[in-house]
Amino acid sequence: MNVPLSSDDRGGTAQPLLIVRDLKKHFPAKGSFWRLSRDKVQAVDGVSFSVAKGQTVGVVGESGCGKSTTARLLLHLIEPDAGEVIFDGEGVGAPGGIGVRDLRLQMQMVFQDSYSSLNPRATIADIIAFGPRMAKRVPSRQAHDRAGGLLEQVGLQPSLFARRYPHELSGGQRQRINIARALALEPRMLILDEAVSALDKSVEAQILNLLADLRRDLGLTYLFISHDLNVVRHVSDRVVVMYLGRIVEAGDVGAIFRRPSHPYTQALLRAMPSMDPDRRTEASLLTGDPPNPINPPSGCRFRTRCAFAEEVCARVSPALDDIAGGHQVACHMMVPGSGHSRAGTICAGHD
Amino acid sequence: MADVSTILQPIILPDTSAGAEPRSYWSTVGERLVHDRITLAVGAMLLCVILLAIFAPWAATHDPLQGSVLRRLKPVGTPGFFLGTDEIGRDIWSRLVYGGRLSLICGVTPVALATLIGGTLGLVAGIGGRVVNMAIMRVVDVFYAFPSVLLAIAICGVIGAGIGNTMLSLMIVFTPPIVRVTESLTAQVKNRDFVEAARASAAPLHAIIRHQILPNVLGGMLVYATSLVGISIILSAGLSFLGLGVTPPNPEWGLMLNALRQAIFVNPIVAALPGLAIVLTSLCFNLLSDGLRSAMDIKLPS
Repeated sequence: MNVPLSSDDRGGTAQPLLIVRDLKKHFPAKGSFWRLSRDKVQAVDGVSFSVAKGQTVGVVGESGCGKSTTARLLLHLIEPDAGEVIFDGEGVGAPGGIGVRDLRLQMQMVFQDSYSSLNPRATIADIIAFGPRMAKRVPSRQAHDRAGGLLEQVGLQPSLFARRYPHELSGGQRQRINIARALALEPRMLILDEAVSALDKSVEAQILNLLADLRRDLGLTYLFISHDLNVVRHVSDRVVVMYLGRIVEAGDVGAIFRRPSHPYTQALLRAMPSMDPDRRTEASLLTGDPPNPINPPSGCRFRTRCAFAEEVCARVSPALDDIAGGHQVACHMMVPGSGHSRAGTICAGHD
Repeated sequence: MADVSTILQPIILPDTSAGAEPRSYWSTVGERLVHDRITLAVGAMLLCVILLAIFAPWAATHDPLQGSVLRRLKPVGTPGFFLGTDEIGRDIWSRLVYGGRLSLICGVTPVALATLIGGTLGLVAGIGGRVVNMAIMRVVDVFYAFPSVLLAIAICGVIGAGIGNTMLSLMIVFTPPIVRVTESLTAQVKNRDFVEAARASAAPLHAIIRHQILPNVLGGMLVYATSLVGISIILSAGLSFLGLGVTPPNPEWGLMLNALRQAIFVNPIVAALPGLAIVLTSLCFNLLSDGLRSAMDIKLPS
């Protein structure tokens, strides 16, 4: 099945499919019984990035850094406090833009927990047919026929699986169902929120291959959220590194993995197990847990765990600056004249 | 790349459904119920009780209201009165059959109404926001301050005796626990990923409630409600026993038990018969709710 891209592709290939500008979500912290807390958990605090058509953008970071919240904000499953989401040139919820419903028809999500994300009391065919039937008013018969086609597309035999229930399937099969369900609305973009993290390595590889095939066949764009750097390196064109609700570094996958420029990215990469016995994994630069997002550190949020932190890091929050051809870093050491003693001396190595 | 699971499937999973119609959750539950022998037996028994009550004029051997001083408290097995007679000589079998009408109505109606009202309130409280939830649940909490029997007696006392008022008071007694059960089930289901996935699929709210939330809430709710039917029969019998529900000389199981209790030393078996009818009927409802529970839990093998 080949979806003619041009019919939906309003902005042309140069127009990024998704632009996110200064997305913010602060959750109220749990107060006591008598008084509501005025503290806010700064889950996502000013995140901006864009996803080009047909690209896979990987989002990495420790748990609690706001990756999943960002995914939910993009689909407006959680209302953002501030910021813009622009889908193919059209602002979501903006005057003259597209509504949340239209956005959801074009952008779908695959969840991490393959079991909890399937209705335990619905058959596989009903689960896949639900979206088209309810959101697009496709007649039941047609929606079920199409569910069979989607099952085939994700590598499951319809006659065997259509009438089964989620608990009768294995984790890998369930994740295929989740992918089929997400594809049922014929979206242009999939958000994969830790979609392969809970699977065995062998099954994970199968699902990754399936995702790659689907991307090629259907011309999909992926936002691939994961904490597994090896997987992100394998699937992504671009990588966004998040720390405590902010983006610390973003760039092409080659630039990020070969020339990591933010101390946090460097520490993350150093923590990756090496396959080469001669290159033993050194002690990680990262110690301790991320700080409490209720009262994040002033200035640079990473400074409490950064080996190079100086006075300026506590005072000024570093902006996400372009250091070379789309490689962006939020660190004072990258900006000459920022007040950091190492400013400009550590070069990312770009020519 | 070869998919291991696809290769193995035909061996592991026999193809039982090739070319079959799509099946829904409720048809699966129906299939499972039909294959459960205990539930079938209990259902058949309950059906007998209901049919006897409906066709009481044909099933009864005597006029349930016609007594005679000459045949008071005859034992079980008396010719013409095979379950004996009561304290004023009325046929027990005929009174039990007619009494089933009122007892079943008093058992089922309050629970059915409470399930409808309480279920709706619980669903709204579970799905609605903080304020709606607070408003509904705190009002419900007020009713929890009173023991249920006392509350039923108090309401009956205020609005007066009679069958209609008994059922109304029982409905008021049963609504709060059903609201609570439904609210907690809804709140649990609402936060599951599949509801979020359904929201992400751009489906309207009513479709999400009907297809995603309700099937996962209705099971627990129905099972709880069925278990209340037995309690409702016993409570309404208790209210009749206290003189608040059905009034003599109308036949009703609780009322019969009350009248016959004075004869317990003269003819204990006859005195126990209305109690036995109550116990058997509520047992049937409880077993039925157990069967329903296991049929709805599709994760259990049938």
